[in-house]
Amino acid sequence: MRVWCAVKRCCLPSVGKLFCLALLAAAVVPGSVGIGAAADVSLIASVDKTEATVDDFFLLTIQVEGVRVQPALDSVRDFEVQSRGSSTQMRIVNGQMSSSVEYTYLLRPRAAGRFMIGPFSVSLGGKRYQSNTIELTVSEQSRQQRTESTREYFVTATVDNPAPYQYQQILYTFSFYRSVSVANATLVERPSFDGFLVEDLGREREREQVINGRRYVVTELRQVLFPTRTGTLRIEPSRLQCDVVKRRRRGFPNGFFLNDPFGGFNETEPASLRTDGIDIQVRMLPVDGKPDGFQDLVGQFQLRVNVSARQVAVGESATVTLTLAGRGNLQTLGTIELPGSSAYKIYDDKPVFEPDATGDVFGGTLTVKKAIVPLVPGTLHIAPLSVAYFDPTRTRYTSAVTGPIEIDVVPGEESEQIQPVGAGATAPVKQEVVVLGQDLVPVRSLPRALVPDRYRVPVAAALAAFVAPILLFAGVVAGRRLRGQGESQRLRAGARKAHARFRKQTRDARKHLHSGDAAFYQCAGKAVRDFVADKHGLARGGAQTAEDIARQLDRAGVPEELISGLREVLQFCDRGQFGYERHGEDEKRKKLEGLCDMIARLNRRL
Amino acid sequence: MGSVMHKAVFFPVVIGVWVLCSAVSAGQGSDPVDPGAGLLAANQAYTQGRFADAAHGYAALIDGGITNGDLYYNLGNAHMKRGEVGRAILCYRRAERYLPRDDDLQSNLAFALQQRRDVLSCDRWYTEVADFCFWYTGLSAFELMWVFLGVHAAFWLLLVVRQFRKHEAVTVLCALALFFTVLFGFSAGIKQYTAVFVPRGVVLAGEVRVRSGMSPGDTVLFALHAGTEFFWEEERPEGWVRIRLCDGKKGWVLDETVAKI
Repeated sequence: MRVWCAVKRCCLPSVGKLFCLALLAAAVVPGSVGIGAAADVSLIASVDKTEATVDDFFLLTIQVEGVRVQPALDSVRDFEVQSRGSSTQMRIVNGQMSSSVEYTYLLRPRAAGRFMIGPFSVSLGGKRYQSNTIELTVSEQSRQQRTESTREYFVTATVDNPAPYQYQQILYTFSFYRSVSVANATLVERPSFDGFLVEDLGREREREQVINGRRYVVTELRQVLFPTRTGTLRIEPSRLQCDVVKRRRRGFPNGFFLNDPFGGFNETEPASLRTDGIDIQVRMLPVDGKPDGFQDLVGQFQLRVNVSARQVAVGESATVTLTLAGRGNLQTLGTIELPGSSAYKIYDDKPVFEPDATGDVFGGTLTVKKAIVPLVPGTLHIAPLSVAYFDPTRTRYTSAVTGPIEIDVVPGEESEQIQPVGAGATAPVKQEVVVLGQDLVPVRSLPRALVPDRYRVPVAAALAAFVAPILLFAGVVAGRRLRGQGESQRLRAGARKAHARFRKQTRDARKHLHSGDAAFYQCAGKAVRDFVADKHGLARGGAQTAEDIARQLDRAGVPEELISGLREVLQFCDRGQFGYERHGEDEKRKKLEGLCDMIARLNRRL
Repeated sequence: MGSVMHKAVFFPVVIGVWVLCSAVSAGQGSDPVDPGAGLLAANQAYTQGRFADAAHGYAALIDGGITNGDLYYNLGNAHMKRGEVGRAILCYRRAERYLPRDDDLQSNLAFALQQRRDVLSCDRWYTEVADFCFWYTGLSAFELMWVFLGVHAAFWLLLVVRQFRKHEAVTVLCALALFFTVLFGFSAGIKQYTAVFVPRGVVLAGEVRVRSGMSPGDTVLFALHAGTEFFWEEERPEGWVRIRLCDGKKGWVLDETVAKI
């Protein structure tokens, strides 16, 4: 209602209002249909066929009505699943509108057998809705079945020679024949060509061919293979996937409403095509007649030589260009050597191989350049060069040979003789180390292979090793501090009790006021000395002189008048103690009272 | 210097606690049954070209509780001879945890890595840093941890000595020990952390399709082949693993097609 009022108040003209209403209806109605349909959830699973071969596909369609949730495909374990997307269908039957979503999948069998797929399920509001189950039968594919079932399109893999010699090239051709339109053709599995050297022979090419009255478009991929070892070598099958275009059946009314009106008149059906594997029986090259220095060259070749200059001076270089051309495994040949001599030095350039992959055979040209520097004047003769190879067409070893090489060497402008480095014969021709193969370092049989090892640290041991040094350090530090604290506490305790001890000692001294002996002087002097010792943490009962005590008090910052007073009393006591002075009782009492007063003042300062 | 040293000792304590918290003790299996005969039989099978039997023999010894670098190395060789590049790389990487400096292992691992089909464009700065920090790659996690504990103990013992003898040489040694404690502590911590929290995996199947979600019907983002290594980000009980390549690509694969190093 509110929406209607908002539209009514809209400043749009009446046509605009109607347009807004139409949009509103378009937004609301499907939603209401959806809400209404949510109460009726159903899943229907179907396939395009229930029997197929291992190279074929099943097209699985799961129609989900009442909810827009993609069903789980957990139950599909014996097939490789590839989603093909989804489409929404809307139906109006007897005025009732309903919608459903179709999820399409390609199921490619992993093996032959009978399999049950489904039920597929969705969950909504705590409830689980399931589809039906489907039984599929997958059979092994036979050559006859394949030929009969895929006459409109098929693939082949062939070689021109199933029994070559080692290193003899064979032509491998993969052909895709089709008499109908296809799309998205992809070679998904290719042979690994284990045991072969592989060279591509140009790009793919297309041609037409008529077989049994049917015209086929043929796409060919050609490769040249050179078997590197003898025995039986297997070329694995290739597999091609494509979509075969088929004309769609359109009918009324179902075909008009249910099919995608924008999809045109064609639909595609997936196809998977596989070739047969090929066994190649590689023969060993004949042993008889194998020349020395044979470098596993198989084919037909010609060798030419060209010299850049027929006359050079001593020390100057002439370039000898050797060109080996032909058909065969030229790419495996490293270089061509010139015979060494003390009359010249040879400097090698890097060989250059130019492949020739046109036509139906692989070949090329190997160009080897060498710089020759003559060392002595005269005529330099180099014997004809030859490269041995095996010609499989004639089944024998032969050689490609050049003519002799002659270069006139004239004396150089300088009279200096060029001496080759090193003593005796010509230095060997240097060449890079060529890696001929790779393999693993062998396994181990050492006794330590039977000893369990650790790569992670036990937590308890690591914690103990981590904490122990810290505890040791903490213990040492704590011990030292405790010892220091004890000492200072002892000193502070002694200092606090010093005055009390002094008063006690002066009481003893008073008892001897009346006596005429040295007891009074001894007690009084000791009381002062013990008091100072207690205050400074020194041992009591020491024989410190008045001057020693005066210095200690001076270092402690005691005022000079107090120090001199104490010094005077100590000297009084010393004179009385050691006998050469005696004083009356009143004088001794007066000195003692003065001493108590000074000690009290001193106690407050220290 | 004393106050600095007192403050500086705090850091080794923190680092050490962090390192030890991430360390996990290795479990030890039960004692193997007749391991010598098993190893001999497996080696003989390998020599005779029966690589499947050899792999089975080595795996049985490992499952019996004898886990060490040599056995994983042998098992990797057996898989490599069978053409199982993914399993070979998995075993070589596991052996590398025990024998990081073994030249034969590095040679075979390099050979196996050459057989991989996938080429990934990854940032190399972290490998260059790891190569610069030679102790990080040259020592196993076990060795690195004990080196750290050793210099850690040396540091505290030097501090104890310094309590009684405040000599400049002792102070310098303390500073050096502190530096190496921090250095090896960080290295050991990082190695333990990455081993536990940043695991790596290897593709075992010939070809796996990495999808956008955990459903066979989800979009195939890209395909990987045997031997490709990745970061193991997450695994679900539904049987899916989320992986991340070094160039940032992510996706889900079935757990049966991959394995964690």
